[in-house]
Formats: sequence, structure tokens, C-alpha cells
Amino acid sequence: MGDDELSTSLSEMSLTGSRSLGGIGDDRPGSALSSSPASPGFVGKGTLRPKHKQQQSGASPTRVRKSSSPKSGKGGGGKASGGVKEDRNRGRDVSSGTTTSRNTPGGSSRCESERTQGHFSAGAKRQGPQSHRGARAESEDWGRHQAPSKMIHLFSHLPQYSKRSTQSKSDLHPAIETLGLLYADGSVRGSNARTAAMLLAFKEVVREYQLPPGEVLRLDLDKALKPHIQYLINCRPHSIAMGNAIKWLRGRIHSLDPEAGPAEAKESIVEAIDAYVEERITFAAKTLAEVTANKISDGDVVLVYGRSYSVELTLLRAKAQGKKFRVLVVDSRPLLEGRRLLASLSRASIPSTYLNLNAVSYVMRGVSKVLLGVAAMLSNGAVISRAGTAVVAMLARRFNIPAIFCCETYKFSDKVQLDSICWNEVGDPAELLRPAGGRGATRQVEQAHSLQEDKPGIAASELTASLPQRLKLLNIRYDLTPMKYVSLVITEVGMIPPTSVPVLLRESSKDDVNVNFEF
Amino acid sequence: MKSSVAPSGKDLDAWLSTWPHVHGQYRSLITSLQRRKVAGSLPCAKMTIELLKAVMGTCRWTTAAELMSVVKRVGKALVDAQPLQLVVGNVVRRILFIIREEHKTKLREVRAREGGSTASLSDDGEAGNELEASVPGLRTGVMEAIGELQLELDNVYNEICELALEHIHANEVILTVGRSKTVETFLREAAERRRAFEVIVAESAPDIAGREMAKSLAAAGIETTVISDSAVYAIMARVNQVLLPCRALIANGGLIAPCGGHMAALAAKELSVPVVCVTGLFKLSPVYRHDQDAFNDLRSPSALIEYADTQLLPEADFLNPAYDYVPPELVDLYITNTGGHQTFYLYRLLGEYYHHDDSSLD
Repeated sequence: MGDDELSTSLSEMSLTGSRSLGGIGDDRPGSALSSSPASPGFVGKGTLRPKHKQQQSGASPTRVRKSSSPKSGKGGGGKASGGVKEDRNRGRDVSSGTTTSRNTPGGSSRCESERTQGHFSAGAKRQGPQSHRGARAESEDWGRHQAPSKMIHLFSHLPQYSKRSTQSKSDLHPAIETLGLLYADGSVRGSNARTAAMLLAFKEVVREYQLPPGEVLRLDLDKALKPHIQYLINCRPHSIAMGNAIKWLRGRIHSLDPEAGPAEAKESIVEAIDAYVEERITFAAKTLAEVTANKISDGDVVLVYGRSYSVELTLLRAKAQGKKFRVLVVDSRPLLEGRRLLASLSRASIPSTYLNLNAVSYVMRGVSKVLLGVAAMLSNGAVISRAGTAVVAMLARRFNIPAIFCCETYKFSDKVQLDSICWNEVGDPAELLRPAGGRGATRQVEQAHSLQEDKPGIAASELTASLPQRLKLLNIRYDLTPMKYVSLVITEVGMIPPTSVPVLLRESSKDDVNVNFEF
Repeated sequence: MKSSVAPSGKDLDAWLSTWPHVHGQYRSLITSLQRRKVAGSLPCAKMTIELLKAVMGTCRWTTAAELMSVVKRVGKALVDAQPLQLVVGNVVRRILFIIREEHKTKLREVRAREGGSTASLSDDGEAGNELEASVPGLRTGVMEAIGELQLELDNVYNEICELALEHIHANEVILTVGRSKTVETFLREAAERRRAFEVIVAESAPDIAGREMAKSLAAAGIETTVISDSAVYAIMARVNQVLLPCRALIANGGLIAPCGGHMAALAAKELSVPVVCVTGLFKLSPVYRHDQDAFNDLRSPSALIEYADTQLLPEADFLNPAYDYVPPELVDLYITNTGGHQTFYLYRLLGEYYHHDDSSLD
């Protein structure tokens, strides 16, 4: 059942990384499941499925050509094996697929829903892949999404959302370029998926990297990676977990044996990346789910927020163990991630109730456990996670319900932070202009938004620019849950109270990968 | 000839039909309450008063007791038409209180003129038999007092707005949730008087009423930021004051707010941000509620999800509650048309507006 699909899709992703790179968006459970025939249409956001249909339904060849002019990766030319070539084609297909699926009017209902979900932003981002690849000159025209006057003062220290106008440099690896676009349009979302996809893309870069004569590999490779990392950051600021992974990778490169030959050294890096993805992400999430599922007992009412990979795995795992429980899926605008979770729970025949974040107070009294996902666990015991998590955890504490956080250890960070403002990510403000919940989100009702005059079909940038003068939009992606609301942190190495995060951090820094904790 | 005592229930309709004009008004208000066509508490209150005035002016009654029974019966029918609109019940009780007061005053005048002692009329006790007594001038007295009540309602926003500058300082950051006419007028007034401050509006899904609110505030020249509800906690740390909209004030000092109010109030409390509720006292209801279920309305889930999509989700339910109960300990201050009141003083105000015998309209 679902669980097997999950593990296959994940292991496929990690083991045959190069093969499935184009499908990296699919590495998350929901998308893996959504490729099953029974998948409901409305949850299509973010999967790359529509591309097949779209391409069959005739994407114009010019467009495909226009959007696929891959710059060959540094040193990738001569050595490119058949497999890599195929991979590159896939990567190209992906981007052109996304482009065309968004531009072709009147696609299947599935594509429709994808388009409408990203309704206002789609107008702007849609140009992304195209102009990025084809018309370099266009990129100059890409203004910021929000004019400087629309910037929120409190968050002006953070990188502002812009249309990621990063020009592709000729020495960027196509896998990275593709991934960047997938990050930017939200096709790859969530710490686990983003980190795994990034590492697998780096693996390709390393594999195809060729040492220029007279250079030292462990220094030059690091230098070669830098523009790739920067490009990804420009596409979307990286999460703390990704930062951890990058730090680890660079550390790994630096500690390469200087005596080893280039081929040997590269092979060891590739293996290390595979091991990291496998042990720290894939296996960690599975173990974590297993441990957490044991915490769910018959008759439980579990409240979850948004769609977290490990929480979803946990619920499916608990169901597979034969537990009888009910799930309350709390969702919030603008991303409405919970809908995909709801669909996946429904497919697994887990009874569930869907509600808005505002309604949590109404249901909290009847909840027995709250399960929450984590973007980063800070060493002061605070949790950084999708915006809204803090409210849910706070309400859980208020009603004396345990709030359990599911966190793989690679997300532990030695950073400390006290508020949600010093570090955060400013998302696309135009997302707030999306029409309200049910009716608007699945139907093309452009007039439904009420902040401007009715101007159907205008791009998001114009939309935000046309806001009344003193009106600003703020769309932050994360918030910080203080330690006092965290009842328990479950990791793949066991359950710890939030006060013990620094302990675990210290233990794991002693021994890079294997944390030997009793549980 | 028909009895001057109004019957209850279905007979009330037949009884009222003697006076076609009033009957028509009665039917139309009942229908629009049932269909929730009257938007906002204030219009509801005003229309209820209009109807009760017409009933009092037209129907047959001779004593205060008879008048009160007519008002109670009509009021009960209105309350039953939309039990969640507490304002209707409030206004009915307020008018009953007015009748009692007027009767007492007039009776005192009559007794004084007769030279009798007023000692038999203790302050708190109009015994039933005294209400039975017919006193001259009761009708005009009651009508005048109701006129004053109407005036009070007409001025409710003005009175509240007078206080705006006392509660908003320069450069203040105010957070509000969703849309409320009272909060909107309050903030606009402060802006008109050249106070510079910033407002953050939580959009309040699923109806996203906050957008309209933000649009209107920005048009009034206020620096306004719209956030999604999920960012309320994150941003709360930098907020100086939370202004809560209010559907009803209840007797224990708590309030019924639009959904999301509890979350915002709790977040504010956790971060020691003062929570202020701006409201007219006509929303003060002599009812007690203690949890989320007791007074709520589950609205159509179509705001959450499209019906067609639910076909694919056989295992899923959808919940779209309309209100939140905010307990009194989360609210720091009520700014009303009679000034600022602290939460635990509200029960005392009840005594000034309602009579304890009227808490049930049966």
C-alpha cells in the first residue's frame, strides 16, 4: 500500500538519483501517491505529472526549442555518459513541461487546478523558465515583485521576494538550473525534498566535474560548487536544513584525502552524498515515522498542520500498523498544503477532518495529540517551521495537549533565535491575493480578489503594483515556536525534550553521521 | 373583540394580523432574520426597535404588564428567528427594562399627586400587581425613552470614536483580525485626526474579510499591511495593541469574536500585548457562555473546498465554524460608547441595562 510506494519512490530517488532527477518533485509522499490512478485532481500543485499530458496534447515545438538550450556543465561535455545525457534531456523536459503546461490554455482539469492554485503568481513566474533560458535580454525587465515602497520595514533586512531574475551562467550544470526553477515555482517544497534534491543535483555536478590541470581538487571543486549554491539561493533562499547539508558537503570536500586521485576523490564524494541522503533523510524519515507511529494509539484524535513529509509518513505508517485514529488536518492560506495531505489520507482510508487555522480553537478541546513538522530545530529548543506552527503549538499548550515535533537530526542547527523576524523568508506577496479557499481556488475566478479593481488576467507584478498606495502585503514562510510550546521532539535516534537539543547536537558533531543514542 | 394579551407561538401571527401594517413589518423582519439578510449587528438592533415601536404604537394594550407581554412575545419570535444574533434579544430586553422604568416613574408621579406615600414602592420591587396598574402617560413616556435608545444607537460610532485618540499613540502598531465596522471606524477616526500609526490586518480565512478592511484603512491614509492568519504569532512580538472585533459581549466579560479571534487574543496574551475590544454596548448580552461550542455556527464548507473535490475525498469532513469564544481573562479592555470598561466590570453594566426578570423571554 501507500507506504511501499513511498519507500520505493524515495529509494529510487536516492539510489538512482541521476535517473529520477527530473522527477525530484515526486520524491515526496503525496506526489508519489498522486501518480496512482485514484489521485484526486485538485491536489495537483507541485507535481510534475501534467507535463506528460501537456506534451502529448501538443506543446508547440518552437516553445520546446526555445526553452531548451542547455548550457553544458563545466567539463561535462566530453565525459557525459548516456545516462547523464538522458538525465539532461529529462531535466529539459521538465522545465519545458512546466512552462508549457502553464501556458497552454484549457488543459486537463488537473492542470487547470495547478494553474489556478498558483493563480496570481503564475502569471509572473510562468515567464521564469522561458526568459531565463531563451531571452536573456528580457531578464532586465524583471522588476521586483514589490516596489521598494511596498517593502515591509520590519523585514527589510531579509532578501525580498523577487522574480528570481538570476541569469543563468554558462557554467551552471543543467541539473542545478532545473532544480532552481523547481524551487522558485514551488514545485519542490519542504525541507526534506529540497535538501535531497539539492544533494542529488550536486552529486551530478561532482560526477561531471573535471579537474583543470594544475589545480587541487578539494579546493577547486569547492570553488566550482559555489556559483551553483549561489544560483539555488537566488532562486529561493535556502532553508536551514539545506544550509546544514551544504556545510556538510563542503566540509566533506575539504577533508578529502589530498593523496587520492581525482576520480577516486569524486567517487568518494558521490558515495558520501548518497549515504547522507539515505541515512540522514530517507532512512531518518522512515525511522522517525516508525517511532512516532508507535506514539499513536487507538482512538487518538491527531491534529496536524500543513503537510509535513515526516508527519504524513507517520500517519500512513500508523494506519498500516492497524491503528484506528482520526486526523484533523489544519490548513492555512496562501499555500493550502494541507489539501494534498488530506487527499493522501483519504486514499489511505484514514478518517480526517479539514479545517482552517482559525478554527483550531474550536476543535482543540477534542484533540489528543498534535503532530507537527519542523524546518529547523535550534539549539535553544525553539523550532522553526512553516508559518502558523507556533499558533497551533501555543493552542495545544493552552488546552494541555502534547505538541509533538517530528524532526530528522540533520535539521538540528546550532543557531539560536528568539523571534520569527531575525531570520525568515519573505515569500511572494502576490500569493495573498489568491482568491479565497474552496470556490476561488479551484475555479478561475480572477475577480474574486477584492484588493484591486477587477482586472482579469493581469500579471501578479502589476497586481501588487496596483495596490492602494499605503497597502502592503506580507507573506512570511516560517515562524518560530518557542521552547515552552514544544512537548517532545521525535528524531530518528529517539525522543528527546527540546532542552536536550544542544546535547544531541554535541553528540552528533563528535561523530559526523552516526549518532548513537539509545531508544 | 380580541384579547389585549398577546398569545404566544403561532397564534401571535394571527393576533398581529389584525394590524396589517405591523404584521407586514413583523413578517418581513422575521424572514430577513431567518435568511440572515440583515448584515451587521447595528442594523439588526435598529430594525428590531423600529418593529417594537410600531407594535407598541399600534397594538392594543392598557397596562405595563400587557405591553411587556406583547414585547416579550414578539421579541421571542424574533430571537427564535435567528438565535445567533444576540443583539435582537438585547434590544428586546432593553425595551422591557425601559417599560419597567417608565412605569415606575409614572406610578411614582401618580402616587405623589394622590398624596400617598411612595414608601410602598421599594426601589427594586415592582411587584406583579403594580405592573398591572394602569398609569396615564406610559405610552408617551416609553416612546420617548425608546427614542433616546435609538439616538444612542445612531451615535454609537461617534461616541466610540471620541475615544480613539486616547488609545492610539503615535507610531503604534495595531493588529486586527478580519473586518469590523466598529474597529474600522475607530481607526479611521484616529487617522483623520492626524495620528500616525500602522495597522496589520490578518486576512481571516476562509472569507478573507480582512482584505476589505485593509483596503478601506489604506484608503483612509493608514499604513496597512495584510498578513495571512498563519503569521499572527510571528508578527505579534512587534505589535503594540490588538483590536478585536466583536460579535457579542457576554455576561462573564468574555466575547464572541469572528473565528480566529481566540487565536489572536491568546497569542497577544502570551506575548503580553494588550487586547482591546472596541464595541457598542448594545452588544452586551445577559447570557453566559463558557466554551467554543455553546455559541457557534457551522457555516458551509464550500468556503473551504469545492463540492466537486469532496467527491474524491470520501473519508474527509470539513469544518467551518463562524465564531470564537474569547474568555474574559484574554481581554484587557473594552472600549464602548459609554467609555472604557475593564472586563470584570461588565456584569455590573448588565444591571444598568437589563432587568434580571427579563433574562428569559418565555
